Amino acid sequence: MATTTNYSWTTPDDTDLVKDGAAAIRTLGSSADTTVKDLNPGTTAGDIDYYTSSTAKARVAIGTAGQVLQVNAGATAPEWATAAGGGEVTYTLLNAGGTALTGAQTITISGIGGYDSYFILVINASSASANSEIIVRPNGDATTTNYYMAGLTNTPTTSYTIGTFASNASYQSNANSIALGKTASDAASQARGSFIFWGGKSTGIKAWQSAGAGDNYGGAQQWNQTVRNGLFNLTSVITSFDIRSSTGNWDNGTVYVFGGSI
Amino acid sequence: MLKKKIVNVQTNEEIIVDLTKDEISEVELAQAEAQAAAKAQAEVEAAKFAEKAALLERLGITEEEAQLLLS
Repeated sequence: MATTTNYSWTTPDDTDLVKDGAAAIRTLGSSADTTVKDLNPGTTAGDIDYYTSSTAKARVAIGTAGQVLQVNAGATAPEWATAAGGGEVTYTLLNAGGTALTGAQTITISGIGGYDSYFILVINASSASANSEIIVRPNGDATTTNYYMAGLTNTPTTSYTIGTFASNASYQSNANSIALGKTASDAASQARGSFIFWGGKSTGIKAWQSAGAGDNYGGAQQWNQTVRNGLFNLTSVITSFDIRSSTGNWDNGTVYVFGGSI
Repeated sequence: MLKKKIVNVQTNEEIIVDLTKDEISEVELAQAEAQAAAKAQAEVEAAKFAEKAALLERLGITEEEAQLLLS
């Protein structure tokens, strides 16, 4: 029995009888009808056809309003799905009520992985020792070559003067952490600061901004304030932040850690 | 004694450990720098005070009188 090249439809042989022609045409037409239908499996307005193999197709029904076409989890077929968020980041407080800065020189906030960005707020921080800087270390990392930063540092005596402001640039040099601000030369002086960090789930370079300052408690001196932007080069995702006092155990203050995701 | 407190926000577990030798050295260095800066500042202030007192004595006026002149 003769067949067609591509779809193997049955065709009459040259020796078949003319009286069998009608049946042969019906068989051929039926085969063609089946094949054409297989190639156009859509049944409903909005259907999309896609190949399930090199010769077969299937239909995917139209989605609902606002959905977008994407590849399914098995990477085998298209599917309609609700579009991902439009880039709006929502922040959640990860350490409910904040964590007290007391009883230790380093407070490590751990168990915070899985967020795209972080916001850290340190308020009323004070150390048992004077002139204590609030220092942040992502993942506790103290590698000097991992911190890149530039910005402004001001270390006034008792009041702001133009001469006390200095630009501060640190490019793979002596920084092994991010300093937010320093208390004055009186142990009762306090400092406050904030820190925002992007790229928490990245295994490449991350970015951050920080700002903070100490107060000139009772006219005490040697406090400072900083405003800096920087990069942090670590091939690990972020899982913790160290909040350190540069000169001694914390004896006052609270740190709040927020995680941000889309 | 310098300590490190590790707070896991998922389990609410808190662990307190001693700082490592390197961490202690880092804190001690920061303390020494802070003390040196405070001492230098105090010396500057003391020198300024002595200079001011000497000037007032030479002029034969009190600090209040000097402030009055400058007001």
